[in-house]
Amino acid sequence: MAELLEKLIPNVLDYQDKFFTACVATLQMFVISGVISFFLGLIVGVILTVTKKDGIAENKIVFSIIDIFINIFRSIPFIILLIFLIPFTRAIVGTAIGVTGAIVPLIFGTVPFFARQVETALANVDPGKIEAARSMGSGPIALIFRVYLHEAVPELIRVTTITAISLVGLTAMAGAVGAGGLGSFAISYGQNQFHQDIVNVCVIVLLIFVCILQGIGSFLAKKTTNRSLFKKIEKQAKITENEKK
Amino acid sequence: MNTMIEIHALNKTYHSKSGDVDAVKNVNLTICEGEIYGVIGYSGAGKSSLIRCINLLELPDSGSITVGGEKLTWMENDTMKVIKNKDLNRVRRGIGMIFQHFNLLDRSTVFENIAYPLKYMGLSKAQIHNRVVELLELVDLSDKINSYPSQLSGGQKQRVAIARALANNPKVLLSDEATSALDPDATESILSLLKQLNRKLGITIVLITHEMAVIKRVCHKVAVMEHGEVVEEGAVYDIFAEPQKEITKKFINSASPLNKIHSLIRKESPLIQTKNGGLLLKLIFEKNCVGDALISEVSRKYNIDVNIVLANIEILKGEQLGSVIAVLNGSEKNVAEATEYLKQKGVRMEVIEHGRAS
Ligand SMILES: Nc1ncnc2c1ncn2[C@@H]1O[C@H](COP(=O)(O)OP(=O)(O)OP(=O)(O)O)[C@@H](O)[C@H]1O
Ligand SMILES: [Mg+2]
Repeated sequence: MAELLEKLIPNVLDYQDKFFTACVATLQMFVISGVISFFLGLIVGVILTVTKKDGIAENKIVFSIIDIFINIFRSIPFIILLIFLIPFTRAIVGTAIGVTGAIVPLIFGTVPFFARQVETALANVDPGKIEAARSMGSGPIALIFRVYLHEAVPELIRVTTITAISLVGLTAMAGAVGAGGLGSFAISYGQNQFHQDIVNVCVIVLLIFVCILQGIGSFLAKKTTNRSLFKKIEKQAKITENEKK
Repeated sequence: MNTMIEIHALNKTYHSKSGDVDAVKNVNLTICEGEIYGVIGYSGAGKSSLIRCINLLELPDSGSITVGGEKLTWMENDTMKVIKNKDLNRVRRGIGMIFQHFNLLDRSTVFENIAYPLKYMGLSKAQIHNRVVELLELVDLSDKINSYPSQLSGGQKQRVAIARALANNPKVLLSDEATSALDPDATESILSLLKQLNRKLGITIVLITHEMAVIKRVCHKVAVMEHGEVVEEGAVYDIFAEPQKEITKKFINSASPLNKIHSLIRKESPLIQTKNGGLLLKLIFEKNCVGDALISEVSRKYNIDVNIVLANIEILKGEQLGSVIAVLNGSEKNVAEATEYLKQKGVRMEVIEHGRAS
């Protein structure tokens, strides 16, 4: 076994320690920025939903401001955003490099995307349900938690999975500008030193990670939906996918 | 009887890009405790807008609304005042509402759906459970307590919605086309459930529909709406016996088997052939003259032939309303005397066709 590995991925074994540090760094970036982005994105998505026209707390000004911000940040390519945010990141967390430095741009890259997805997920909640809850005397907080978020759980899990997977991609990209992690490991030890095996292993590790995320996401989405409804949602997802094509 | 819902000079206009829509125009309604009050009208007449004002799901532009003694809106110097949000939510818990599309939470079981409004009452877990069981018995759905809405039929879903609406012992139940998405059997069972609840619990029901058959089946009183206005209002029997407005007549005819006459006329059926001097008539026998053998009496007395084409008896709230479409044939003089006699006896009549010389 050891011999086989020695043959297939000699350079990875040479830089074993660096490889593990890179894995940990990637995981750290993913978890920290992921958790923060999840809550921020959820809050922003909910605010968008309730303040939009005919929402339960309609507010044109708040909605427009958030809407514009999201559109701006979503239209900037992440690699540019990374550079653009360097001064801001320094001002906030004191450094623009390493795991700490990467978290701020990762959040800025993820929250707008996730907030939009949350908004779409909540928009799919039948307005009739909101109406019924209002008729039973529910205030805005109850409407958000007991109707919107509650009814959208499977859809929210789905969009969280999509966002988490795209976040994996972003962490690798952040590596390119000195954030550490698998991205920078693959570039500085793999590509720059012509060690193709290092690049390959990085790809495989990231691939496995994405597959695990997708698996967990699908499992939870299925679990939180009662069955006949799930079929309906899947069918709808397929139709929209086909439309995109 | 005590007044339960009082609506005065209510107005609601929607502003949209394609122009303003006056959905509710100067509506006044008084609904008494324990009544089943129907509102009928064609699509777009403003029925939903009106009923949604009763629990302020829709905020009117002006007018006053009082439900169970609580003022929801009222006028002060030409401006409308509105109840505080906190009080509104409390009042809403005393007004149940059911909808055409049920609006149950799909990710909650039947139990959780019905328990939803109970969370506001500060009950213990055991109390909530007992109340849900009690409500499910009331709507006759006890075996579905752990089902999800997607596992229920339309009629069953509406029963769950009714149980949920009744959870906090409301004094008023608002029903916006609650049977419009159901098949005839389910419609019948939901209507009889509503009737039963009204009798058992004394709950006041405001019911919106576009089917006169529904009004006939359950309502005590009815208001007819057209273009945002209530054009006619009264006890169901009176409206059926003596409709004033064209639209009301249309609704009544749509629910009456007598409207077959129009297709008979179109087809020039021999059944309704009138001879010279004869008449094709619609006779309406109200509660005071149903049962008298008037038709055979005039036939004998005035020597005319009476041919009954169509006949129908409605039993509305226990009172009978008979209507007959008949051909009267005989000499012009005899027919005239016969109709005069019937009029004297309190029979109302509409001439549908005068006989032609053939
Ligand atoms: N939110 C809204 N914005 C703009 N116009 C509206 C809105 N809701 C209703 N309307 C308009 O107000 C009028 C009355 O609508 P409403 O829903 O009260 O009618 P309805 O009698 O309940 O009809 P239906 O039988 O189809 O339910 C219609 O012309 C409708 O287009
Ligand atoms: Mg309607």
